[in-house]
Amino acid sequence: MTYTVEFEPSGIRLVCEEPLTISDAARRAGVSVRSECGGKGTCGKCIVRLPSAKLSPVTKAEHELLTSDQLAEGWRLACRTIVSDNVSVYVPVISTIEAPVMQLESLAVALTPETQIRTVLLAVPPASLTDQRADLQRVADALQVQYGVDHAWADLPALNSIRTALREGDWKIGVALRGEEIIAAYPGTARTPVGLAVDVGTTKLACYLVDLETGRVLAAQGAMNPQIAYGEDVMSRLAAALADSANSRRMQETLVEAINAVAAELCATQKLEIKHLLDACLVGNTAMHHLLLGLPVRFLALSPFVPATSSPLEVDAATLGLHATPGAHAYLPPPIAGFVGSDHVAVLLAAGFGEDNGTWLAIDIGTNTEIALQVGSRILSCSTASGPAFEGAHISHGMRAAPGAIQRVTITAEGVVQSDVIGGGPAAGICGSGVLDAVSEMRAVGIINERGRIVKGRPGVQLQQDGLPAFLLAAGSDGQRDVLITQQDIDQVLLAKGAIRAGIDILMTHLKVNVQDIEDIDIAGAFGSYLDPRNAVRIGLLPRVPLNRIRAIGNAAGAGARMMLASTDARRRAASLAKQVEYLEVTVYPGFKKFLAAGMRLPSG
Amino acid sequence: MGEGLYQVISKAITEGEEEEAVKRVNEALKAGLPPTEVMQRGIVAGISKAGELWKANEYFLPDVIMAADAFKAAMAVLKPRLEGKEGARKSKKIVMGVVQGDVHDLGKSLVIAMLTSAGFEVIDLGIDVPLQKFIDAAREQKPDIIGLGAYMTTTMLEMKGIIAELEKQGLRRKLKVMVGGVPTSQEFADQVGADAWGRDALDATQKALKL
Repeated sequence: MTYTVEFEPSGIRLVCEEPLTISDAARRAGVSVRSECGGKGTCGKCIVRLPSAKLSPVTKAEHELLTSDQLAEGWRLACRTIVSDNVSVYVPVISTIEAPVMQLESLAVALTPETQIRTVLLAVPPASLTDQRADLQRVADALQVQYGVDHAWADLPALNSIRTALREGDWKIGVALRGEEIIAAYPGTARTPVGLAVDVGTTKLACYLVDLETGRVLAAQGAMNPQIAYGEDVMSRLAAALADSANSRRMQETLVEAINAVAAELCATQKLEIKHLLDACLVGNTAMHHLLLGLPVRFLALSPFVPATSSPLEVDAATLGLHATPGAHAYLPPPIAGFVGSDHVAVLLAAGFGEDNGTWLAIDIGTNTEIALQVGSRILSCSTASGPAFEGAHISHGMRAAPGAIQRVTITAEGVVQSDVIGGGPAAGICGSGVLDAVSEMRAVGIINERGRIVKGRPGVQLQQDGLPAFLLAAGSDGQRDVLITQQDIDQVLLAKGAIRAGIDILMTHLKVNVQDIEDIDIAGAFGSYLDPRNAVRIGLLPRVPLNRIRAIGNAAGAGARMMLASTDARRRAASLAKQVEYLEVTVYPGFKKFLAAGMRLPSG
Repeated sequence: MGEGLYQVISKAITEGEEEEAVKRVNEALKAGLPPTEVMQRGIVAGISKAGELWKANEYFLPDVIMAADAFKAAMAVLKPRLEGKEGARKSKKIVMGVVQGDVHDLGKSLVIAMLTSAGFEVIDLGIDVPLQKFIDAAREQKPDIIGLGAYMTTTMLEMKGIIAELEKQGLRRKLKVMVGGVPTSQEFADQVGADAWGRDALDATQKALKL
């Protein structure tokens, strides 16, 4: 018997045969529903409302994560509710995966583009009964005479296009070369050589179309990483891959499809087609790197977390499924360790690590935060499980930095809250930078004490159902809910900043660096660009350096990927950086627990 | 003199002052105070107080971590003096370990501190513990409870195999299994066939007392 699931408010319908969880049905129907825990019933972010008849019984997870009022109103968790009969499911905005605010900007990258790839225009003598040279020979000879290229050659796909292009272009032909290899041919014109740089984030993809001659970004665009349907963090993705090998394959395919889709749009802005891409460089954390290449991830998921390779790879773009020129390659810089990927190499490259003998910190804040400390000729890196609190996840009223999110908070000595909402409308939730500000300000005016506890009885402090206190940031109007910071939220922030600070302190201890020695702290990533450095230092997320030494460097992973796309020298430097970096596993470092405990404290003022 | 010293030890543990706690325990032993009393009225009283403050939301993890560390150090000093006397206490025995592939020690150390404060005898198998080691411990130690910790989405899957193996070897009837760790849930505990799930160290201790 078939049945139909209809999703509201989108009106998308799905005809099903077997019983399905609502999450699965939504995935199949292409309806976005959040899945931070990967469908384990622990995050409570996938709430939906539907009539109770003909549903699977309420699970323990739902009893725990939903209030009795919510259950009475028909709210359920999409990942825990199985449907098997016609039903209409209401998906509230809060449960949809929010449209991302992409961060594509970054430091201006100083580099002299010099790639193996170039395009040239050739006038080729027409074939005749007195000149019966083969097409390739004819083109190779012309290349030798007109551009001094010796021993030009071509593989099968390019041979095909040379043959057609010569005749369509009336013996005038544009040729794309990678060294001496002809990888594409165009009738009549030499196109601008273009390539694609991609920062494959666990949550977001940042794609750049780059002119390979000038290194200039022609167009840039972000997209969600569609693997998000298999869990929001790296560990959930790995768990999905371990549970079913078909999931690895689907994650690979869906990721490449998304990259192809964005690349095609980027090319269209320049009146090009995706098949005109001559090269690609993709960076990402080690899990993304392995999933993209179809490498087994099992040994990334378990201690001792060993990656399959720590060398750069240059593969045929076609093997990954990229719709670039058939002869194009894709370059994947090396990962450093199981939890420090090629995106970190790209960040270090863009931030100029290894070029000078200064004392610098680079921090890329995300669900896993990678930290690198350079002292003289040594670079030490670590990864800490900071969790997604600074991305607004696992925060009760948390959301990504999107319209409606509180991004700035100040609290006066009298306890009056002033907040700045993205887009200027009423507050719908709070994003990472807002959470950081709120904790810092609440501590400064004594609404939370040195142990991070909300002090009961202070104005704005209320008790929640579970008896724990919460602080009112913005009262809801017009049916909007109140935006609160709960005790649990503060605990999440303390855990996140404790993990990051412990990582920083362990690196500094290991290399015997004092705070005053640090010349520069580079913060990569979107959160880094929005955070208020003063508050980051005040809550002890960062060491107490003069604020002018803290620098947001934007999407440095994307910048590094572009550098490697357009410069062979940058590729060499990245590979040598990856070798130079020493990885330190902080969780087994002596005294880790004490570093973590100290990192979670809230210093006063 | 004993009374005052017990209180000093207890306070040092509660406030996570490891060096002070160790120093005072040594002092108490040198003064000839009975080791079991030093443990119960000093060390255990101190960690229990830390647990209470945590439960009352006056303490948070850093405070509990420091208290648990002080507790561990103080117990290490006392342990050689307790040998032989523990058998008489007839406390329930728990074997604890973090499953293979997982090297996170923090959560387990908190659970051990809280369990000990509640009167359990805890045998710590450590981190990254292979399946067979749990089975051997079940056979040799004859614990009342086996506690399994996992702190990663990928490693918690190991628990199912351990419980199945206990079952297969006929050891499951004689003991209870508890599971815990950040990515786990009651539902997960039910799925893998555990007797109880601990949301955190406090909850785990409460539930262990009821098993």
